[in-house]
This record gives sequence, structure tokens and C-alpha cells, in this order.
Amino acid sequence: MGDNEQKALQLMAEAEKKLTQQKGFLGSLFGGSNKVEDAIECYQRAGNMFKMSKNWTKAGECFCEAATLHARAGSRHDAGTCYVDASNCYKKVDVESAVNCLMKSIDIYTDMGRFTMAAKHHQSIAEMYESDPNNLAKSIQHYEQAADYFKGEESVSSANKCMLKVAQYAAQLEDYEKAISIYEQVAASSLESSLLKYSAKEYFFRAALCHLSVDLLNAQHAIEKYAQQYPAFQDSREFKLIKVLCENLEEQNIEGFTEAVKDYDSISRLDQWYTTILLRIKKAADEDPDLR
Amino acid sequence: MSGIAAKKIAEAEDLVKQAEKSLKLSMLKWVPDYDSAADEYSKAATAYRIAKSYDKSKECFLKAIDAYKNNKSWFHAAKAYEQIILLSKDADKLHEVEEYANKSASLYQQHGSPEAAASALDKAAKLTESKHPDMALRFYQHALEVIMIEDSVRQAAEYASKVSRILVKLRRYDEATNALKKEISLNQQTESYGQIGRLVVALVMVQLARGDSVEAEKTFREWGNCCEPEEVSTLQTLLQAFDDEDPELAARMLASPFIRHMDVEYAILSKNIPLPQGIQMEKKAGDTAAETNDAEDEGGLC
Repeated sequence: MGDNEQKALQLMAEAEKKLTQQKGFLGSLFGGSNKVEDAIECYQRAGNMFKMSKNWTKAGECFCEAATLHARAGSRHDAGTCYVDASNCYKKVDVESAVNCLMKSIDIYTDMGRFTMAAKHHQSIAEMYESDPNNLAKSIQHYEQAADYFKGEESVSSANKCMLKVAQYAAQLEDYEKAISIYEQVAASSLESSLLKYSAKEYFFRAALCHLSVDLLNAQHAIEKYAQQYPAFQDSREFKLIKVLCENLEEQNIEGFTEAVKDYDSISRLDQWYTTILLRIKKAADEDPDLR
Repeated sequence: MSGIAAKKIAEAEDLVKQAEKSLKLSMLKWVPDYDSAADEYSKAATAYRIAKSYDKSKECFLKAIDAYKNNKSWFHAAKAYEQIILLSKDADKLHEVEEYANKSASLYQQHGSPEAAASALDKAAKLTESKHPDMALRFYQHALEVIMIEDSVRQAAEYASKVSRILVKLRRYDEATNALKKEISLNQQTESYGQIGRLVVALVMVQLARGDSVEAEKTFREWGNCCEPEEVSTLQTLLQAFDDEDPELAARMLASPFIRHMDVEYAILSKNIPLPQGIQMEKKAGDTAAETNDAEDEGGLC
């Protein structure tokens, strides 16, 4: 352990020395670019050794230095790659630094017109942010940007995957309108493919639950519209559940609501997202009894 | 963000100047350097696109296309037209897609890549399908023509399927009948009998939607042997319901799970098929009026 770190520190010092030392007149004329390349190589080796020692912060630093030097030497692709390596190290200990490195990499790739790479890195940033509830808004923002770039390159399935994440987190943050429009849009594009159409019922189900979180009447209109768009949805268990939930909410029957959800859950387990949304719907119904 | 846009615009303007320089002649250069100019215009167009200056980007792509053509690079010119199509989508000007998609396909064919031509038309169709289904229809029909020149029957069947489905969506049932028959014949060539069974169900439903249950019966007799047993029993009962003028039975068959789970356009079609009217003695006059209308329709067809 200590040995690798010692060697790594020596390599860093060596790299710095290579950059600063003056070789004399002939050296500066002919050896200019070589010293930058040597320094880069030293930094990369140092970074790898810090990785072996699991010193992620130092490893990230080294890869950042290498990236900066690559950029100075005009190797933008290599600079982008080094920033990605740096962010992979940083993300274990410091998410913000990892994000900064990826943002630099994204700038490079967009300059080069390589939007698919830029989109993937936005997706990586979004994934780093999504584990922290306080950063869900940032996660959404990066997923949206990734989806925009994927759409621009006609990678529709990748774009849709990102948009579904946006919808999921938007609903968690109670931005139901946004979630609904995304689920409806992805469902509509899924219906155009013979293979993807079987996923449409899940998207319509999620959209319907978001409608229920906002307004019962809109939810009822929405599910009729969805059945028009996708007749098979009408035969699905999801459709039947939404119908029963609407009836129970209309009658202020909270016990019936709970019972219907339990019945559905006993056959198809509802994950955390569904549970959260359904609890909100139930709580809202509890707090807002009819005045009749 | 506006800083980045300004930087990209400046970069693009530099590239345009370089391209113009490449095209200039001088004492030492007697032939314009089309190759360099085309690449420089392409890069400038990309930079403008990043800055969201869509009009300038398109202008640069068009100049790049001129340069590629002069350099006899048909493939690259076609590729640049495809880029303009993506621009039209970004700039929300989908009505321009038709011109550029057809030009792109034409250049790919000149280059000797009909598959690339069909693929470009397919992409353009997918882009326009939701907002301009009639334009998408023309793209798929064009792609079908192109691919048939190369006798790629399996791929042709796929494009034919899209044509049929869009026609059903647009409720152009007469044309849909012809499209489905063509699709069936393509699947016969590839011996995809399972697929033919489903197409027969679709064709029967389209003919019922046209109000022509006699033709529907003929279709079933001609191709019914390609259907699965479940398809056979559903269609038999459905056609029987129309023969007997039993609206309830017809509605029940049209709502069967088998039909509901077909391609979405056909599932929706099953909801829109007019049901047969039951015979009711007290409304004999109404029936007579209906018959008169039918006669007039037939007269019109003659």
C-alpha cells in the first residue's frame, strides 16, 4: 500500500519537474512537446498507482492534471477520456468533483460534435445525483439534457429511457404535470412499434396514477383516452385497478381503496414509487372529504 | 450558455471563411478545392447547430452538399441531406423534410446504396409519423419501391406493413385493402404463414369497415387456411354475425382479446367498424331508404 503511494508521489514530482525545468537553448527548440507528453505519462501512471492504493482523491487529481495537459497539447479526445477517468475516481469520495470533471468532458465532446458521448456522460452525472434525495432536481436536469442529445442523434430508445427517469423523479417531487406528459409521450411512441407496445400499459398506468394525485375527474377522462389509444389496455389488470380506485375515491370509500390496492399488490408487487404515489392519493382523500 | 453559443458562432464563421478560401482560384490553383470546402462547410453547419442557429446551419449544409456533388461524393451529399432533416426536426419545420428525404434517397441510389436510401426514408418517416402521417405514408411507399428494386422481400414486407397500418389509421380503407393484399403476397414469397394469418384477420376487418361483408367472406375463403385455429373461429363467428345481422354477437367478437392484442391500428379499427343493423319490421321504410342509398352508391361506382 504505502509503496504504491510513495511511487505515485514520486511520479507526480517527476511530472512537475519535467514541466518546469529548462533544458537550455537546444532543448527548448526541439524538445518542447516531448516534455508535456512525458509529464502526461507520469501523471497517468501516478493516477493508476493511487487507484491501486485506493486513494481516490489523489488519483482523480492526477487524471485531471493529465487531462489539462492533453487539452493544452491539442489532444481533445484524450483530454475527454482522462476527465472521465478522473470522474470515475472522484465519484467514490466526492460527487461534486466528479460532476465537474464530467462537465469538462462534456464540453469537449460537444465541441467535437460527438453528442452521443456527451449524452452518456450527462446520464452518468444524473445517476450520481439520483441517490441523494436533495439532488433529485439536478438529476432530472441532467437526464433531460441527455435525452435532448440522444434525440438529436436519433437514439430514441436511449432518449426514452432518460425521459422515463425524468418522469419518475418529477412525480416524486410532485411535479405531476411534467410526469404525465412524459409518460403519455413515451407511451404514444411505444405504441408505434409492434414490440414496444407491450410496455405502453405500464406507462399509461403511471400516468393515470399521476392524474389521480392531481384530480379525480381528469384521471377518469385520461383512462378513457388511453383505452382509445390502446384498446388492449382496457383488458389489463392495471386498467381495472384504476377504475376501482376511481369508484372508491368517488364514494369516499378509503377502506375499499386500500383493499383494492392490497388485492393488486398480492399478485403484482408494487415497488416503492407506486407505494409512495398511492399513499399520497389516499392521504389527500382522507384530508379532503366532500362537503355534501 | 449564450457564451457558448457566441463562441460556436464565431468558430462557424471562421470555418465558412476557410471554405470560401478553398473555393477561390489563383495563379497556382486552377481547380477549386471542393473536398476541403465541403468538410469545412459541414463543420461550420455542426457548430451553428450547437448554437441553435438553424437557418445558418442549413445554409452551410446546402453549400457542403454543392461542394460534395462537385467532388462526385454522392454518399456524403446524401448524408448531409439527412443532417438537414434532423435540423428540420430541431427547428420544428417538419414540412421541409419531404424535399430533403427524397433528395437524400435519390443520391444514395446514384451512389449504388439502395439499402441506405430505404433506410434514410424509413428514418424520415419515423420522424414525421406522429404529426404528418400522410407524409410518412409517402416515405414508406417510396422506401418500399426502392427496396423492391433490390428484391429484398423481407425488408419490403416490413415497409409494406407500415404502409398498411398508416392507411388504416388515416381511414383510407380502399387503399388499405390493396396494401394489405400486397403485404400478404410479400409474406407468401418469404413463406411467413403465421404472419399471413394475422394479415387476413386485418384484411377482413378492413373490408367490414368499408361495409363490404361479401368481399370479407371471399377473403376468408381464399386465405383462411393460413389462419391459426383461434383466428379461424373468431373470423367465422364474426362473419356469421354479419350474415345474420346480429349486432350484439358482432360487437362481442370484435372485442375478443385476440383482436384487441393485434397491432394498435387494427385494434382501434375494430372499435370503429359499423355494426350490422338488425332487421326490425316496424322500420321497413327505413330499410327501404337504406337500400336506395346503397343503390345510389353502386350507381356512383359505375
